[in-house]
Amino acid sequence: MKAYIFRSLIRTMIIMVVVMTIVFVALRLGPIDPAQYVLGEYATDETLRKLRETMELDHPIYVQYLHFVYRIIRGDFGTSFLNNLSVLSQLLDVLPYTLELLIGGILIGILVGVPPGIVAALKPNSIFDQMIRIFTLTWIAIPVFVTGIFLITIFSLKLNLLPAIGGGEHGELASHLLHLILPAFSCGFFMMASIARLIRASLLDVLTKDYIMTARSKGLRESVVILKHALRNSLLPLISFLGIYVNILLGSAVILEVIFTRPGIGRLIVESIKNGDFPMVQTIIMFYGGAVVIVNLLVDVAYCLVDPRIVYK
Amino acid sequence: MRRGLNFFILKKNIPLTVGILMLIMATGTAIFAPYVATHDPLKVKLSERLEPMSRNHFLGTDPWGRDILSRIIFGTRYSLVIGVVSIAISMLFGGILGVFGGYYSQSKLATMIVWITDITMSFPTLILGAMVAIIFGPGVFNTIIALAIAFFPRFIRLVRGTTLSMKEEVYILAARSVGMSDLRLLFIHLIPNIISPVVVMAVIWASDAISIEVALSFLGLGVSPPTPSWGTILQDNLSYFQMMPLAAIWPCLAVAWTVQSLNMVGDRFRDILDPKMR
Amino acid sequence: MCSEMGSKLLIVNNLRTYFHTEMGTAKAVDGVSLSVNSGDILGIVGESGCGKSVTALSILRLVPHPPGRIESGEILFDGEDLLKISKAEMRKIRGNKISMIFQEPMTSLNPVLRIGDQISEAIRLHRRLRKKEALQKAVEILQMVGIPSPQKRIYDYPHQMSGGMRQRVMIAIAISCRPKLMIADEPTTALDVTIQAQILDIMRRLKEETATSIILITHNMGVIAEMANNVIVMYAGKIMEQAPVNELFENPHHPYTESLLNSIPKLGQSEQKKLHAIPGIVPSLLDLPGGCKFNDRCNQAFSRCNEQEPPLFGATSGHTCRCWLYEEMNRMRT
Repeated sequence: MKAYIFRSLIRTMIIMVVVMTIVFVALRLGPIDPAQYVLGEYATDETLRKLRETMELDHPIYVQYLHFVYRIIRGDFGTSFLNNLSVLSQLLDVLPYTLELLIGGILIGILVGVPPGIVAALKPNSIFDQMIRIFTLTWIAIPVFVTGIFLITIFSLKLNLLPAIGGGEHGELASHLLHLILPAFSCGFFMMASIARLIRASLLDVLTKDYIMTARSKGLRESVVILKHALRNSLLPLISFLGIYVNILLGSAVILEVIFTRPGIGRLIVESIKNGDFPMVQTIIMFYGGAVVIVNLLVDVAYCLVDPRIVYK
Repeated sequence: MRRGLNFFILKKNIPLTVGILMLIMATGTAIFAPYVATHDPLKVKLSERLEPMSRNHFLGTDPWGRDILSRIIFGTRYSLVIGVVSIAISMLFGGILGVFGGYYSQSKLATMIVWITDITMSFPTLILGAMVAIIFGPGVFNTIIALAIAFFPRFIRLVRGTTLSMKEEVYILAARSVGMSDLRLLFIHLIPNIISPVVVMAVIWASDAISIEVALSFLGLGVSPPTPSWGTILQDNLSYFQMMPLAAIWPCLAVAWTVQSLNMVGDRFRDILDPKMR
Repeated sequence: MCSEMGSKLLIVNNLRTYFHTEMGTAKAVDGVSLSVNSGDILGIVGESGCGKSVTALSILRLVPHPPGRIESGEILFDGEDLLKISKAEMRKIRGNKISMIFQEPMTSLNPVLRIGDQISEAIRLHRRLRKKEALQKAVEILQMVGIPSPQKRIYDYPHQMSGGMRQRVMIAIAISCRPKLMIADEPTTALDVTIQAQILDIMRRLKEETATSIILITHNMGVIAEMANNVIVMYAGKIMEQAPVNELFENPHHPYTESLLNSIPKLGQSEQKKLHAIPGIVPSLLDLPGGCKFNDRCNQAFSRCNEQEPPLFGATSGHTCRCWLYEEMNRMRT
């Protein structure tokens, strides 16, 4: 097990390096000129050239790359082309907000999605089940930002109950939570639908298994059969889906952060991309690459702990 | 399964029917856009900015005085075409690579394909699309390419997986034992059996593609204004949300409609396919 | 029936279990009556789809009830009609007085729970023992079914065991509360031949040690010959023939039984005979032929067989048969 974790971490680092290299080269080969973005339309050629020098964009790519790698090894991720502040510190500043969003969305999805999924599976083809199926079918397709805009309209604009802008005061928990509600529910609706569906299908499948019949033949009460025997097995797929969900949510977070004007990695990368902030883009992409692999690793470990059949060599 | 029209009224097929109808309406709107729209979607009229719904402008006007309904109608063209074409391209090229990666799974090229796919799959599709979009620049054509590339890994993985499992099927082994050449085998036996699950996922992913295109255009990375993609419409109208929230909601409804219809159709196809695959 | 065999433990009268599906009603069990005496091993034999498993499930009231339903009949166990008692009372009987072993040992155990836990579950439920004591009992039972180092084994998971061992665990679960009746539904079908013999041995030994009666369901005539005292032959939801085991093998009445016996390839068959197979296939329960259910595959059928379904003849003797031929022979005797 430990060997597997170790190898995965190595893999993560290799992936991060590869991705970073590709992004590094691609950015510099592309049509974007960061100097132009920083100085604006009316900059003279001379000032543009000087700025490019400081950005090292006039050097050949491999030279730039070597400098870059050298700095990374020493822990220096560079400074933003836009505001000259450390890229890493800006990233870490906004990271908590995105994490809040992710965790919030997943939690809402699980807490609100699992119970209906279970009930729907226990009473297939009942009115409740049909309602759940219609509900999940609809909400799974609605893009997260559409849900977001709807929620803003109802709860922020019309009812004036919840804030739609910002992430909350630094350090104040209540403020954070208040600003988190609408965005988290925007992801939450989608997650809810997806998870309910998953649990329903999984539980229905488990209930057809032979060992459920064995459990019933022992004379156990139906509630025990469901809770002790069926549920444990039906929740397993949820764990493996968690990695996919994080992937999807990271994508949704981008748009949600723009709509809700929330600080976060998503908004940061969009702005850096649009403004040609190469160091920021590189670092964030690297972060994405590493983050998802690590999440998948955590999912694998969790799965391993829960399902006794899985053994990693 | 009852044939004929009865099929569409079956209780479990209602979402399919509804989805197909919605899709037909959307496609019809796209095709007949110039005849259905009431105004020129690009015509700016600053004297009529942000007007509420009226008989002249059914859905009101946007911050530039353009008729929202007409913009959305023309937007159908862009969003649908971009979504569908990009998925088709992705399916074609991703499929070819996937078949190769699955059939010749021992080769070094296949291993590399798998490796690259795994790495790219770890990024959210939106981010992938954004990265490619930024390298190519904005515009309709570039957005199609960006989306095609972003969905590439999904198709490669799907097709490769299906190919791997089909490869061991008895009829494949039988054909090989008769001396059939690989190429012939791939085209006559393997690919026809892979097509159904791939097409089903393509429909479902097309809904994702449209969603992502709207997101990209909204963020300024996809189609550029003034081209009326639903994303650019949303971008224009969202800035004036407080004054006229409906202006932002209409494009959202259009997106939801289209995405919903594709999802309903693809979803039901998947259910129909599943028992057979078992 | 020989009355010195002991009291009747289980009497099933005219059981009907139907499955109501979109495509029609499948009469899985259609008027089955049987009895099991204390100390008996009753064998129920027949091809797939004849209703033997559903009969077993009906006795325990485990028939999946959205499509399935016990329509009518009596199931008298120890004098009580199981079809009339409440669900709670039925649960007290399951795993306790009547238990069941299923066909597929590979999938009949919960993969995420330990063996010891699964064995002691019934004991904790029906005997109110605490976890530790129940686990101790589980060790004892594992010993009885011949599993080595049972103290270690109780902490294993099912996937760590072979098919044969898992089936022994299933047997352990079934006998954990010393049931009066054990129903074994194709217990050896999914196992290798050598393991089969071991499992049957265990079952026979346990029956002697714990005085459990057994209903043994199988499609294998060899297993029947080895284990059963009395045999029921089922086809399309009905009993075709019933007799003590020796009588059945020496003197089969029903053409179906004869065909089943003939289908077994025999050692030392000197001539190059083709393997005897019963022509045709088992009918779908949704599309049964009229008259005698076997008539379209029977090589001794005549006109009456197609028109009218024969009743079960010979109820007074020890040997019954659902065939018009037998009625004629009966009449010829008298």
